[in-house]
Amino acid sequence: MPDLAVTAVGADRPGIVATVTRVLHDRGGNLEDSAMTILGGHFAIVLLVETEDDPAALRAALEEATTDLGLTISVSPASGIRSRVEPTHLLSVYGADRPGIVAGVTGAIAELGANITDLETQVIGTEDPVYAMVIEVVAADEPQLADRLSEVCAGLGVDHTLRTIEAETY
Amino acid sequence: MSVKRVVTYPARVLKGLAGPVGSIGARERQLATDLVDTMYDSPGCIGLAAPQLGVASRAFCLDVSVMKKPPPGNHGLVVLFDPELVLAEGSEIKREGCMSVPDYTCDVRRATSVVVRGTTPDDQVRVIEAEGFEARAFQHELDHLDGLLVLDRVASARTDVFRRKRYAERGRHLK
Repeated sequence: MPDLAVTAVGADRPGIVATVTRVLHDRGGNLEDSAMTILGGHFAIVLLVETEDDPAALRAALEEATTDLGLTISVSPASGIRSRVEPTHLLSVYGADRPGIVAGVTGAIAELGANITDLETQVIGTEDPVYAMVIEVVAADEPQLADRLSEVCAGLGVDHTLRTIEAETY
Repeated sequence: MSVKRVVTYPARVLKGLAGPVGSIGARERQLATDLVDTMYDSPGCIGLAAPQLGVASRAFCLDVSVMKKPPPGNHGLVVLFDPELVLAEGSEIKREGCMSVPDYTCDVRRATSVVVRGTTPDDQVRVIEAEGFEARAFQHELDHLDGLLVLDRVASARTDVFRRKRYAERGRHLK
């Protein structure tokens, strides 16, 4: 069966996941992979569902079921590569919160053809907030990536550590 | 008592490589006193490294015996200059706090047993075999001497970094 990519975002409240996944299940869909979390005060769902459903019909059904929840929903075809890419490196970046940290660091990663498999951020502290980001990367050329990241992070005034994932276990 | 202020990130001294101490003199013994007094004065604190007092020297103290449930077989108060990690074995993820990254705790993977060698304030070479939580404390303090914080050790910014849920009451862990 083909996959559809579904996204749903809205102000956080109880019942969002239950309502969205109930619609998918009732229409014969099978949940493949998903990321669902609170971002600020919003709840965000991104998922792949294996289904014979028509994207427009599924979207209409989801919108009808979630009218009270006020979600912004998208449904689009997502056929293609299924294999999970294993990251080779973990990159921690942190520093005084300022605009441009993510764009600067990920720009350097993209420039070198390295691939990001996961990126998570958190602002820690309220008085002098520190922006913390951990990125999983698939990188073929570690020395080049290490050098470029040192330059970019120095320019942004943030601290960073690049570790191989194997090195995570003693 | 010589309680000093603990510096917090982004203070640069926390991110640099701390310098070797070499021979032990009056200044080094004063640093040891500052570290120990500040550690015992800070609620819930079981270890402190010189960079956390703004001093870029390879020195730390730790004492896990002050914990509410002291780990069995621990070495009590340890103060070491120019410490080295001789051996590290095993692997375990547990939650750690750091006075220099206040209000947050992090899940960090560390070795479960270590051998550490260093020089005591009496200028004696000391070799310590530590396990479990004490081994973790040694690795946390050793990291400080290399400019590494718990934020350099987490595997995820969202799932391994936590707002601290409660603080030790002031004085609870004091000797």
